Amino acid sequence: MKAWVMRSPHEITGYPAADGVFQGPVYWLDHEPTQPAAKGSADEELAAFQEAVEAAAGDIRALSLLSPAPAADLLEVQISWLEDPELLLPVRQRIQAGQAAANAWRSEIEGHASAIDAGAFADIRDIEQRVLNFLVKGKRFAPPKGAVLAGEDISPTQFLETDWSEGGAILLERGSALSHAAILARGRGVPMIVGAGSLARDCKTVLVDGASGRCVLDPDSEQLSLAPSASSPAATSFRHGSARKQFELLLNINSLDEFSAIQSDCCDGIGLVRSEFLFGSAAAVPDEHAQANAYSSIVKWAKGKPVAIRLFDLGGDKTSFGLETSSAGTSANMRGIHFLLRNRDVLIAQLRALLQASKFGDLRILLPMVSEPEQLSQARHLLFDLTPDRQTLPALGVMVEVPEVARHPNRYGDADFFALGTNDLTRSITGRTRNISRATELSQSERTELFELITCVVNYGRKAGKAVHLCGDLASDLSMLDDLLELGLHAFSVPPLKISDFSAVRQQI
Amino acid sequence: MNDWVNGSAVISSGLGLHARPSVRLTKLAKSFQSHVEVMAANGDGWVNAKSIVKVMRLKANSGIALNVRARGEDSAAAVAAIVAFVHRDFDEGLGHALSA
Repeated sequence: MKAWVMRSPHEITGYPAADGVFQGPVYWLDHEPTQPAAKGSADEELAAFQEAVEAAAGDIRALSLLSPAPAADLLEVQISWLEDPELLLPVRQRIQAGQAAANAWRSEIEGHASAIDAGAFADIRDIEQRVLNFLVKGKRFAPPKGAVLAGEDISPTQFLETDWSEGGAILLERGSALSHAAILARGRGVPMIVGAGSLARDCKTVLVDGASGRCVLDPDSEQLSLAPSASSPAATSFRHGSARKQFELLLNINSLDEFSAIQSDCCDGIGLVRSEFLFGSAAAVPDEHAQANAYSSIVKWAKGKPVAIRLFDLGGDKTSFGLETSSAGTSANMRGIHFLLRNRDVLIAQLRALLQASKFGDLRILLPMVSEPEQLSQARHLLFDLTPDRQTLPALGVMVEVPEVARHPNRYGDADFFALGTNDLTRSITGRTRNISRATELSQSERTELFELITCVVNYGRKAGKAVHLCGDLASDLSMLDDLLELGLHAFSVPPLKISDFSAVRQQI
Repeated sequence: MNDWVNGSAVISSGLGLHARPSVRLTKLAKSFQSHVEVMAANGDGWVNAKSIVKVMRLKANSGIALNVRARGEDSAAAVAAIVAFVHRDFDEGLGHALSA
């Protein structure tokens, strides 16, 4: 339910996905042209096609020069497609037969979709889009700095390709506050609104208030300030008279530049490093050396405080570093540790890099999307084999993201600690994949089920002496804090942006 | 008219002939003047080994025999090179993607 009433025709409300206020010019994300580009003669279309293919290949070549060898290897797949006469000739024949270049290109590429592994075809769709961008718009995906990116949805790659150094915001007609792009936006402090409904494409400037989900299209000077957001910490009312228990405050980290503005004494450690996001939109698995450098810099920053680094959560709709994620990759059980155990060279390199970084402090390892006790013991054995002196093994923890694991944590008694990943737990409970935007959107029964699952894990942790912390989006929803403390949770991992709010609450205790 | 030179090798590389080795295969084929074709034993027919689009469409998985044939001056060398390439697991050794 949208609780807020529209105040003016220019004001619309969506769901808050990342806090912050920003105003700027709109950059439309839409891939498809709003109206078909005028079709030229066959010769003109052939020439336009040739130019677009060369421009797209040139971009990829430029990208591959800047990339390490394995990434360049994958970009070469894309270049090879753009150079293959078996692909280009049929397109030219279609154009000569009267088709517009864009249609001919799209039909020809899509004709290969069913015959090529779905994971690999994602890379082919990328070249399809690059060429189309040149054909239709004559430009690359390069939003100006300081813009509001608006449109139907945004991919994690588009987020990573955007230069946020001068601020910016995201306004989506659909999208979800639980999407990976939203997680990145919260980590980077980019205000983001999802589910805003259809947006008039003629608007030029937008004022976005990510905390309330409100935005103003083409604001005139009088509308420049929105009322204070109802979810700001000052307005959050807590239960009166309840003696709140103290809790540990941990950080969620998605990128290395998130450290620049904060010191490790603001928190008790790092509860979750989403390692797959640390390396930007790398087209290949980062090598062991690059990984060790990245992990070491985090562990050193923490100055002895615990740092839980989650192994690559690849597959599904996540970043996949160009690895083949297979058509079954969209289901949860082909993600996370399951995927890594099947791509053992990737897993081994990451564990080696983590072991190197563990020399610099209290590094702990989190296994993503665990669904079988066997996965924990296999990872444990591998880690043991890779540890040089076989004595100082880093602590190994289980991400609880599957209801079955939450119901039977005792089957994972070999784990040293547990981290509740409520984003995926919530998805499983509700059966919804993309359309839940905040905890208050859960029905009463869904909320009860989620709390029961959390309680199972918390109770087991208390009995077995294992630490449990919460690191999903729910953790940073201050309005949930009292309920969660009551369940017996004492450790919350939140994005850097939320640290000051939580510190303020802690000081009141 | 030259006759086809034939060869065959069973794919044992875990991921099969996926995108990266497909590029390597086409590059290897292009290094020969001969017309080179490949066919997955479970597939539809011979395809141009110098075309990435055709090779990726093979979806040749591990355990499947990849047949190779070439026609031209250096056909014997081309077939031998591709058979050896399959036997070397497409040069996808452990750590290939990881040691930049």
